[in-house]
Amino acid sequence: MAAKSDLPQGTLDMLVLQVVAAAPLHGYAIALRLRQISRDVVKVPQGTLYPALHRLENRKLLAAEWKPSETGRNAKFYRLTARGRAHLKAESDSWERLARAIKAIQDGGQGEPA
Amino acid sequence: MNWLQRLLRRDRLEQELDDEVRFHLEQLVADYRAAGSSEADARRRAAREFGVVDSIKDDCRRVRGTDWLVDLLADARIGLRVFSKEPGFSSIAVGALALGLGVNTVFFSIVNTYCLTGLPYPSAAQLADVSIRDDLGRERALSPAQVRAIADLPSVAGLGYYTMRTGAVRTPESIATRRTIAYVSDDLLPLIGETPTRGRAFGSAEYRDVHATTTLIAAALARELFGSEAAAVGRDIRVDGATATIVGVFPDGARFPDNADVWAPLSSLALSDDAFALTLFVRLKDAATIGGAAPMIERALRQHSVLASDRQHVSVVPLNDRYHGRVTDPAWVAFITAGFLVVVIACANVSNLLLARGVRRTNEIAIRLSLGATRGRIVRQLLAETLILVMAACAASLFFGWAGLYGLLAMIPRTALPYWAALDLSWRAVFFVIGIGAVTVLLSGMAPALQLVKVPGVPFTARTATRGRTIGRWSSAFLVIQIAISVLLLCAVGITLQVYRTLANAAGQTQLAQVLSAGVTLSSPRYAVTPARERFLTELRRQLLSSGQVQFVSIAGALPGTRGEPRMVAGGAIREPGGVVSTVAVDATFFSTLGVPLVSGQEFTDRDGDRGGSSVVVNDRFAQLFFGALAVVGQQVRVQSATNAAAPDTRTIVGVVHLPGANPAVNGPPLMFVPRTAGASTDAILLLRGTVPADGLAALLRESVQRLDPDVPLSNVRALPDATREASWNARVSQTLISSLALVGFCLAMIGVAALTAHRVATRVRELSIRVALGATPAMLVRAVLGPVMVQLSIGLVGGALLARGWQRAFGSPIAASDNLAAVIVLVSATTLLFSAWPARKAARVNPIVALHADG
Repeated sequence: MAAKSDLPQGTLDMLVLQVVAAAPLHGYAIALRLRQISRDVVKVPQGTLYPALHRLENRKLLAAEWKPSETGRNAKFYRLTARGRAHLKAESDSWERLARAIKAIQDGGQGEPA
Repeated sequence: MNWLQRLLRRDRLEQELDDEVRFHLEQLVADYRAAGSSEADARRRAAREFGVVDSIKDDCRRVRGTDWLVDLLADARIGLRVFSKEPGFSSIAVGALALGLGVNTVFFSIVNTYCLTGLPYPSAAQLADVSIRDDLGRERALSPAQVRAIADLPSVAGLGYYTMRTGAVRTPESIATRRTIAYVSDDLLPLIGETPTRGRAFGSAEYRDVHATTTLIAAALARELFGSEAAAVGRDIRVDGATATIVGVFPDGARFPDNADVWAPLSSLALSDDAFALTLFVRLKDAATIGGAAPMIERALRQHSVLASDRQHVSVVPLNDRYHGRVTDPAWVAFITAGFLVVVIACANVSNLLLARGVRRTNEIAIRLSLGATRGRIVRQLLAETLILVMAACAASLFFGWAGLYGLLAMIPRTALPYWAALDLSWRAVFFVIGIGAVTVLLSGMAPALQLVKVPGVPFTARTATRGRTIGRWSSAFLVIQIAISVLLLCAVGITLQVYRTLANAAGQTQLAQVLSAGVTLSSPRYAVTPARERFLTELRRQLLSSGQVQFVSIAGALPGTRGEPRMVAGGAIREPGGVVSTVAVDATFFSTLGVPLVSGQEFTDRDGDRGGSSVVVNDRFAQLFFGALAVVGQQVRVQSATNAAAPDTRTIVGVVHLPGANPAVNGPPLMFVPRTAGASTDAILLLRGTVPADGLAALLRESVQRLDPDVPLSNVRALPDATREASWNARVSQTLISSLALVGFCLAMIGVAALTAHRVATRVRELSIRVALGATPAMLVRAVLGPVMVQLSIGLVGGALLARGWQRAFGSPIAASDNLAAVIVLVSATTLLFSAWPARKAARVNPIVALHADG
């Protein structure tokens, strides 16, 4: 059984889509970008990315293509599809609403969520 | 990529997954190396960072959504290996299931034809059949006056009616043949949605013309008379002596309402208002339901004063129900239940076989469980093995079903089935077999699979000590029931064989083979009155007798030995009042023509017919059924029609006859011969006995009829035993079905015997080994195994004999006759011993060292 990340369920998909949104990346680069952008806060066993990537590919949110990497070796590059972009936007909006709501609760109801 | 593409390209996907994971790990290693780690340290850290590769790959495979199918294919591969590894076991299990499923395939096809497939008219579902019935449920046709009263009802959206007749059809050049003619009303053909494919339908003027001389014919008749359907249109044919022009030809498969050959406008019959001859279909307006239609129509008929009495009632049923049985009718439910019982018995026996084999595989299962396989996984594997067996059985059962239906059709005369009844292996039957096959997998495979994976690591023989005894008791009881039912069914088969032997001997030995029989139909208007019909028959008889080749000519209402008009008998000393018998109207020379002297009493005289006939002669089967040991001659019986509302009359039995080929103790319908009223019917049976063989008389008969009137058709001209055999196809089909069911039941019971003995040997290996160690010989071991089988056999035989006796008492068929019962007991005992000896041999080969070592 693969080690579980401590990310809330369903967030990994959104983070992966967000990272790939900027440019097509292979799995290793996606793992590195996740760590860099989150400044080492988001730590997942790197292997757990692959089931997520394949799932997103099967759902046609990502498209994949084998092409030479920066080292010259062939790697599988993932890019966001139009459907993926729409899905990402919907997920991000939903996440932001939830985050604002949680923040509002933590602040003792001083600021109502927008 | 959809899941099917992912399944088909799974090798490529696997390779890509490998490459992707390897690339990731090597990048990680390269990064750690660049950061100063040693090669070994970099690889260790990369592996930790990445996670468990195999587990991640499994997760990726699961994401594809195809692993269940991949596992299934793997299970199927193993199942096929197991199937081919034990061909003996596999063929017995497949055979048992195929028999069970094959019986159901035949049964389902029959049910499908008669209950599930509707009539082949596009609008049949919206139509209802209207009839009038009396208190006893007997049907009466409608009159034109009644139809008019119904047509005026506001709830009736449309109606059509017809009457059917048999008549003579020929071209000006050919000889007349007996055909079915439907006289139809103007709205009928549009109502059912049938139109000719060649020529045209009747016009409205033709429907109103009482002198209409146009006709429509069936495609088959067109081809027979004119070579092709197109050639028939515009040609003349003679229908019942009148010339008519063919204006259209119906396509194959359109012979409404019941195997009609020719259609004519009803107006051409010029029926009187009170001629009760019509069958009526109505289409009701949406608001009117069929349930509410009957009282509404009855009210209308009473208001118009066209319903004869208060004891007559209107019945309205959906059109499909008139021609088809309902699947919920008790007879069909019994039929379907019998089929399912056969499958359940087959499944139970195969389940026992699988359990017996599974016991031998206990070690293999225990090893797989200890290697990490889940119980669910092993159950699935065992079910997959059963699935392979059932798939093979399904394929075999389709063949059995096809062969069974083919055999059945070969026994049924072509004209006996309605034209829409396609008794064949339909796609629906194939899907049914697949569906019932899936149920079979669960029924036969689930119990042994669950039993085998129950307690891993504990020897099966030890853990089944208590539960095994419970299962064993049920299996034993089940086997006893199977043996008992086999005895009952085989007794029935034995009697059937005796009947066939009696018939075959009779046909070969007696003089009946020298009698020629032929149907004659006097349907043309020139024979509309009784004297004309009688004149024709008298003249024909005179010509035949004067030829010198014919000694006797007799005229009867039906073939002797077959079912004539059904009538209910009661009164006097009769044992079973209300019993239904067949009545056959015969003339004074009937018994002389057949060459059968009366057993007691006297024959009819010519005056009996003139009087309207209060005398009757009965056959010995009648005498035995209704009077037992009493003297029959002189007894009086009250006779009432079972099909129409004619008043009962009282008759005196003047003689008893024994018909060759019928054994009064065993078979044959109870018959009552009544004096034939001269010219009473347009249809008659001619019986000729001559100095030459029956076949030689056929040409003479045809010539004589042709000379007298070329528009009179003869039908079924053949030797009397052949005609009787064809006419009794219904009984023959029933007997064949019962015999087939009996043989299938017997085969299954024997497979059950083998399976239970094998199971018993497998679960008693430890005990048998100890016996061997204590000095038991192989013969003693076999006896130890066969002992319980003998007990079950004895109980089964006694139960079967009691069932046969009960059957005999209930239905009068002497299936428990001592010679029949003895033969069946010997057969069942010998076969049971043979089938149990085969697995019991294994008990003789038990090696105590191997067996005790394995269990220890």
